[in-house]
Amino acid sequence: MSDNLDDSLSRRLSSLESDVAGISLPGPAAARRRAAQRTRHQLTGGVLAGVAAVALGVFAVSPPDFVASPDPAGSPSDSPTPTAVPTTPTQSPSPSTPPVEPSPDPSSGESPGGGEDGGSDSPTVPAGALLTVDDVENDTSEAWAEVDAGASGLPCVPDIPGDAAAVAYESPYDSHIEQFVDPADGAAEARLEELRDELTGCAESGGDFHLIQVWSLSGVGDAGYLLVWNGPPTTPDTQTYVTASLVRTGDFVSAVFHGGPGQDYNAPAQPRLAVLAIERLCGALGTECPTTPEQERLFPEPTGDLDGWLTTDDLAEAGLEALTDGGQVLDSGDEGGPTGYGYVAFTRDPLADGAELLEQRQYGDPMDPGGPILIQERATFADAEGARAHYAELVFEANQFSQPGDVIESTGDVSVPGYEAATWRAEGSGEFASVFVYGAAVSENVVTVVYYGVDQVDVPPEQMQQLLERAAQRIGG
Amino acid sequence: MAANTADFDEFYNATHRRVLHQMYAMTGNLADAQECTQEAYARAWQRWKTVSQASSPEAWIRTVAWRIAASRWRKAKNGVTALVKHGVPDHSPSPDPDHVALVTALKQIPESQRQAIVLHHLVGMSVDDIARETGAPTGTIKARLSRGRAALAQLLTDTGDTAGLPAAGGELS
Repeated sequence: MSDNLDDSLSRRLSSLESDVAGISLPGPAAARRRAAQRTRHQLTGGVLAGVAAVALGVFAVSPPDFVASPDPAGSPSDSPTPTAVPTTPTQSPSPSTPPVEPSPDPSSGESPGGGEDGGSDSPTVPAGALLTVDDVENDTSEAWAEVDAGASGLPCVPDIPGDAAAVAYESPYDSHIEQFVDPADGAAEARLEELRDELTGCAESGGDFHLIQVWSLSGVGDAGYLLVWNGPPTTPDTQTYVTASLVRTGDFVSAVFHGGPGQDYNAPAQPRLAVLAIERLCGALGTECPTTPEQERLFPEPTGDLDGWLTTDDLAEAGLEALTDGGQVLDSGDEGGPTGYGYVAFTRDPLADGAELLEQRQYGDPMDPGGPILIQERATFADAEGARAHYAELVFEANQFSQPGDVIESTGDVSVPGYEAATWRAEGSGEFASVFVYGAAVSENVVTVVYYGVDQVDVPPEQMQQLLERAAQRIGG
Repeated sequence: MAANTADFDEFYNATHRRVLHQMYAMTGNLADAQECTQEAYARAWQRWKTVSQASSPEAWIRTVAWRIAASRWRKAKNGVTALVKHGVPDHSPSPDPDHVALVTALKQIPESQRQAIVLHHLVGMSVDDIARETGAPTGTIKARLSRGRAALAQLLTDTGDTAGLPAAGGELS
């Protein structure tokens, strides 16, 4: 009895293969491009520990814990708790420390507190300028303990400058936070740039070191940067990830390094530690500083708008303001490039219909890697006649397409001198319904398709139709 | 690096149709299966050095694709309000009515049962292997399989599509 049931279910499930026989995925190169478009981030030890209990060799896809903002804490500057006095920096470089130009080391024997009572010409770092344990606990939801500064062992983290005040914390999950505030009399701007160059140089030094993200940060102090990289030590399952939050205000530069063992994860660098650091520093200086961060990605460098493709303004007109990160174009000539349209309802094969080239571009949200994406594909034919013939077949078959449980409706079509366009909407039913909006257009010798899995932001039919018309206009001008 | 790319492409080409098929069975939606499978491969490439050394990279892909699908459903439940409301879903006729009935039935059972059913009856995994892949106890997997089979048998009977499905029951190994 049970065997019969097993056999029957197995046989029937296997027979579903015929439903996917005509379906193509965009290919391995498209997957690699999709990945490359993203930024990556660390999965903290805390999450890693939780994952290990359930994943058994399968990695988590939940966001790192410090990406999800904890309950808002009171302004750090409101806290009366003075900053713990940092200890003298340790001078022993980690064996994993890459070829960073070593900082001068005038700090030996300096009293705890570094620049706070140092004897140099630099301005002294005021008391209370450093992050407290409460600051970092509120930010990360982990329990932290203060440890000796300068001994984190995180890759690329420079030695603590001699005049700097510093503090460090460690979590039970082997995560580290280290901060120094460096007085740079009249040279804070140059010091910030020097620090960024030093860190990026290290993170790009090859081997196990990889620079992952660089963001410019405005609205926090005078200026700043967020950097993410990974490096040794590594294990078969983990590498060491570090996020640097660099900000300057007046004559001071604050650098916060947060890192530990983790696995790759898709998330943009978060500015919260930079904001906390500037709130502390400016509070201690008795100055007012801006703390409304805006960040712009510098690395990986955004591709920007490309001729012949939808622009980010086009997407914004359709309500997809967040999809500002257009990727590089991948074509059918690339190894592993697209071999067919990547959406299930576009059953017509453009290459079989004579297209000379099939290209694909993806648009995503740089602040939500792994989140929703819109995909545009373009099939280029030898002549307009070939493109029109393919478009007619493509639309005909898309109008015939169905799948169980989905309601698919044609949401518009237009034919004007210069181009034609058509759009559809597919809505699933039931608790786990999904919604896709998609369309096709032809102009001159190019057929283009656009598709988007609705995720939080919907694209109503009229806006989808407008988007497809934009796509057509971008082709033919 | 080139070797890694070649390894990844070879892995993708060797496995993607199988994963797509499995994801279709799990999600009941070809577009969802396409998107979640491709997204899982993208995430695999981001950590290919590690994934390629896993005991089963294909299991990694399948698990991640499944989680992406589940995440999308939850987001959809919580955040998306369709602009156009339709009446009774139009279960459009498929070229194969048997497939329509099966997919429709699969979509009506809880996702954990559906996942267990697909992993056991399509992927061919043992209860122990499913437990390892999903992180659930073996007893839980057995219960999910048993309940899922019973529910499917009932659903397919209700639609008049018995198609060789006897009454559910029996022990799973």
